[in-house]
Amino acid sequence: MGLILCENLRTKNPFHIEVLSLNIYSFEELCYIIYENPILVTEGIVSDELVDFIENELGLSALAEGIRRKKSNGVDDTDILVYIIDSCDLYNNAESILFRNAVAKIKKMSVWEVGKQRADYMFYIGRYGVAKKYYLEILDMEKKADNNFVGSIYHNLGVTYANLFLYEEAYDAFKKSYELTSDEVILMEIYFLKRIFDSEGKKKKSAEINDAFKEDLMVEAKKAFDIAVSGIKDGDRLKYIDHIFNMEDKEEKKKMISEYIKKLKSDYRNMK
Amino acid sequence: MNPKVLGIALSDISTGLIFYPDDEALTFPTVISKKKNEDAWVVGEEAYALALDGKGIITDKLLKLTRKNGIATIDGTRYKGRDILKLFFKEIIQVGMEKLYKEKPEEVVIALAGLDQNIMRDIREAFVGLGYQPNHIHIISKEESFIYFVLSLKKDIWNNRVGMFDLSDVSLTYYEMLANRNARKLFVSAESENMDEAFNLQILSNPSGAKLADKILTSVAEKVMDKKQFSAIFLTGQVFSEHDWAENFISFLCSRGRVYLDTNIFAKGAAFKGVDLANENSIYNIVATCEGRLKSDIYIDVVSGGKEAKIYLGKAGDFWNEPTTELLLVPDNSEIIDINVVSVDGKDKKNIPILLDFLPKRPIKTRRIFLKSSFLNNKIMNLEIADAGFGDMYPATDAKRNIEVSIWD
Repeated sequence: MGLILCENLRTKNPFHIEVLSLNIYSFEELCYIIYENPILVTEGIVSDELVDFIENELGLSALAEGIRRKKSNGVDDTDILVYIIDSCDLYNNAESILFRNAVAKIKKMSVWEVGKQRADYMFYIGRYGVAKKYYLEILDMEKKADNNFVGSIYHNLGVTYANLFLYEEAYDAFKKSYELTSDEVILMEIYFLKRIFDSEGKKKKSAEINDAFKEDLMVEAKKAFDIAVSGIKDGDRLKYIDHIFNMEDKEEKKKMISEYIKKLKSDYRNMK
Repeated sequence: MNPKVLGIALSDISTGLIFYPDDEALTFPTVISKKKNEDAWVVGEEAYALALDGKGIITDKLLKLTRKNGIATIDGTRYKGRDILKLFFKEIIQVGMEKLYKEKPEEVVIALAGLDQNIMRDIREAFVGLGYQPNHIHIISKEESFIYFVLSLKKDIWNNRVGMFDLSDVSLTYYEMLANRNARKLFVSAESENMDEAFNLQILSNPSGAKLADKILTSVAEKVMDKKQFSAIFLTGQVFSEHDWAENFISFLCSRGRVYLDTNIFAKGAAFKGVDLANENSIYNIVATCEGRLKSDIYIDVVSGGKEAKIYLGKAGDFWNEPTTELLLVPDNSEIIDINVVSVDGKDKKNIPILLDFLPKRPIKTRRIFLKSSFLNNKIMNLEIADAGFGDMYPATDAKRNIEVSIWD
């Protein structure tokens, strides 16, 4: 596809997508976000606010009217997202078909699969608090899936807790996941958890973890952890931090540190 | 109802005025004199007379002075070229209105050779300073005024090639115009060439000099007109009002087409252009390609409203000094922007690729750019391409490039 002509406008009142903590100012941005995140349909993105934004801020009255008509005819929200993508020049027919397929896949999923994808998505974008809430909702559902699926939910919940620095809760979730799946990889992750949060083995779960490990697995886990730590040391993130602290220009250094801390704080606040 | 139009033909030698709908013309030498110790100015022959009497300080070559941002010190005061030009316009219009008993015109059209952004800005500002509305001030080339003059005449005059010789004290310029009609519009092109063979008109004051001048003009005509046939050939310039001296030259011209004489072609052409502009719908409905106007269509291919479309950055016949085009684009997976140039007859085509390698690396759909195009003249387009960012996801960076694109080499 060649050059795509965009409307040269700047909206006065952007459309705010709460789960992404993101303001949308143009039709291209809206379509891009929808296309890249079709699971947003489960977050109620197709709303009256969205239609008002399309009509009043983007000036796309025909599209807004089309969405209203579809909604009143009972058209599914996923199909309304397809309708929006089809109305946008940003995506060609082939790309639009890929989006339809992604949306169709969501529609075919069972209720707990959709719930897991939704929770996984929140984890992926760093909204750990929301992800935790969604994982717990799946576990509260009456109709249960098989052990492997529920085990995977507990596993992801454990990872989410770990990212929220909740060691005990993470351990319990990983333990349940291991009990349901008997997957030794989870044991390795439990070892990682212990090394990160309880390197001196003072916490009450420590003995329990040690008991669960066979000796050969413990060796393998230790080796994997050391490799992971060395990978982190060589990673871009630490290199960037080193670069900041090695800067000679004190003013610039101060500015960079302040910006970095600001970003960490923002990421932390977004974890909710 | 006839609009009131002031047509002005401006050059460093003389300036012609027409207050349309009348066709009576006034011609002034392009000079101005300030009365000594008075805040009063006179123009044209009166300016010469005042200077000869020692009562005024004369300034000439007003266009040249303005073009080079020159300053003239008159009576102890420093005047910028453009300020003197403004005074000149004020005085000639006043004289014209007094002599011809005219009201203030609705449209002003100024024709001159050698259009560039600076001189056009200065002339425009001068008229704005004199109380004219910017959208009623129009500056065109002499080639364009020639086109409008010719098209205002009967069709048999311009149904084939039209030639013109403009002779003044410092220059000899040959003009040629050709009109082609297609199904929709009349395409008219005009070109001019300043001939090296210009001569001082004083040589006409003696028979041998006049004979030499006739010989020079005949030789020039043979060269530029070659074996072409013309539906009309015009002679302009005060010197042709008495043309006994150019017997051989005129005889040669008559062998190529009908010959006409008019000493105010450019002022009249400017006035006719003004009449066309004053009308809601164009009288002539032409695409003119000449100095001041683009000679090609310049466009980019885009996707808009689900369809492939052309966005014109300029069209043949457009004035190159018209407002710029500003677009917001996503190049998608392309690393270049193709600028397409097509000559007015569609025979010559050119593709100019503009690299986008300076844009920041990020997902292709989020590479939104701001493209601004303008023309420096009818051969060079200026493109400004800047990263427009993609909302809060990817704020705009300062990645930007200014590119001068040569439309035709």
